[in-house]
Amino acid sequence: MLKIQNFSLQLRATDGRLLPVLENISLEVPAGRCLGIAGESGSGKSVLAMNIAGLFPEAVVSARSGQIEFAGQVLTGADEATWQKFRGRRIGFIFQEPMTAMNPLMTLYEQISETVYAHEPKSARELVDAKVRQALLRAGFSDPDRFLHSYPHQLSGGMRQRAMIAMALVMEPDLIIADEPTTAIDAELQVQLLAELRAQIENEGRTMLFISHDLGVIRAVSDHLAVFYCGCLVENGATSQILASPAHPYTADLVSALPRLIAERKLPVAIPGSLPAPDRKPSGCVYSDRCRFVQEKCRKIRPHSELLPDGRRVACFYPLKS
Amino acid sequence: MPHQSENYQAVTDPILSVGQLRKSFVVEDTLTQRFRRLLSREAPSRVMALNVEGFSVARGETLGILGESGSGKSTLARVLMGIYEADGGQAKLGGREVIGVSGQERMAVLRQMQMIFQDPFGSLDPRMTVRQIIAEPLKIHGIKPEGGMEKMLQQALHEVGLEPGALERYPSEFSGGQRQRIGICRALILSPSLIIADEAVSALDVSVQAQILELLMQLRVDRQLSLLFISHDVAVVRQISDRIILLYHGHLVEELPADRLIDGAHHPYTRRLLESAMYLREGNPLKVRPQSIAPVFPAEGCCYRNICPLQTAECGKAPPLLQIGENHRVACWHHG
Repeated sequence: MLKIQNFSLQLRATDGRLLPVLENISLEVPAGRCLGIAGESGSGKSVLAMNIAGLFPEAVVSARSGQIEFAGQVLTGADEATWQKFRGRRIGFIFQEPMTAMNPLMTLYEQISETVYAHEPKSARELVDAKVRQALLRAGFSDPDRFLHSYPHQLSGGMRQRAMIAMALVMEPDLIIADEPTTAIDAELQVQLLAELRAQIENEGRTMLFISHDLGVIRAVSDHLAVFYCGCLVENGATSQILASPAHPYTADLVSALPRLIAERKLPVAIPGSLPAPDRKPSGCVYSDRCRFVQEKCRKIRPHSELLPDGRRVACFYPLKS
Repeated sequence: MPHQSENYQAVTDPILSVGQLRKSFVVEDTLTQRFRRLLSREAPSRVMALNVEGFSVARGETLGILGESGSGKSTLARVLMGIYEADGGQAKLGGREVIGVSGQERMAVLRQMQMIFQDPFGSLDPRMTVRQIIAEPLKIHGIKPEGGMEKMLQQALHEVGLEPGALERYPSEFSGGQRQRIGICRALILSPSLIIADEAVSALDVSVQAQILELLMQLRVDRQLSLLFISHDVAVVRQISDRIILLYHGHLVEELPADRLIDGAHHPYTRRLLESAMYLREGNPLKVRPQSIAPVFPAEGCCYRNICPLQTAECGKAPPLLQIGENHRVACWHHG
């Protein structure tokens, strides 16, 4: 369904510095599956998502290579007319912050129907009404009519987040890109939203790209997992397999940093240091300056993503054994 | 309302003791409603945001405050800090009254009690340098450090793990985690005995979150700080706290030692929170699929009864906050 091949992106900062924010990313998401993308802020996960949806501001791009292919169509380098056929219609995007992604002066009905009219300007009112209701139902509103004419500020945080999902679903897209849709909300609400999203994959056969820094959330929703660090894909494979026994030291550190709810009460283990800026990456392995298992070779040569016997891919010279 | 909690003291050496603290807000209404109200001279309708029974924090202890958004945990922090005026109740910090005081008395309280905010972007003035941000509390309280200002600021920065060069830079030049360190540094500069951390790590990536938690634990040991740690994240609260209180719709529904949270929680609300947290953190299967409910809070009786699986006729009466074990209190007719 979605195929990303050797995709690299370099940006030009306002002061002229060249920032390689994505390097050689190759990923595939089969139809009807969910790929989770994990990584810290600054790892390039949102940049990739915006490139897939054609939402990335071209003005700051200095170089781009490789390609993104969706449903047989190459999207990289497509003209705006092509993008408009995909964006919102075949690719739905759920943004992180409903308060900034929604227009405060438009009712829920107006926000959601806007997408329908943008793609099908001559739609009959009854048809649009039905689509809006359907989308709200799918996003977990049990009584959509009650909220159709509410403004964003009149809704609770959870309802706004559901409204965002409804906006992405209204055109029944084949691919849903969800960028941190459940960050900083209550656990119970997260569980509900994840269940609604999971139902879209299992019952409606949609494909999903789910971005989060929280591996617990990713475990609950995704089939496959791709771990990003500093613009590089360091590990990808089946979610359950990677979380049970991470092969890349960064993935392992990310797992240990998760707060746990097991009998033994101990603090999550922090990863020392911080993510380097895109133009200050170590010349060898991107994780070499923070890695607990670093060797001489790691500081000199950047490892490529290699296939392990168990089916996952890891960019590490010395992958951890399970 | 339970009476026995009015003078409740769980700990022998409390730094903070709170008794029956209440705060309500005027419900925002439409212009027509407001006009009608003006004509009829009716009082505006109010919503009760906080109505907690007594609790206390021991010297050097971390008390976790757990609840969903809207449970009143931030209101509690803000009432204690004097950002909101309480409707009633008392709170004492090291023997000093906290509620309803102003001027010099409030300044004296604030020297002993400081706050770390959730949003590392919104809580630092973008036009102030780190030096100005950290030195501001000293200036406000008219404190001239003995070894000189420069030495004090350098030491404070070092303590939270920031480079000395950070002083002349602006908040925008730092990452979220570093900004939170600046916020912690500002809260510590007056050497308070109690820090209120309101969702201090919720906006951070997990890897950075772990760093900040580590720092808070370290500071707690080094400075013998007491900490009021407010969060909606069950796993984080359990890890950092000695004891935990649970708030639901402004009420204290359960208080228990952090060690007892997973297998010793009695209140159905506590257990419900645990269920989704265990699913997200440990991948445990969900016993019940959570439903989307916008709870309607009952006007009287137990605040949780409308959505409680254990509800009976008895719940029409408000349950007292009963002591059921050491440091364990629960407000439920059906506990156990």
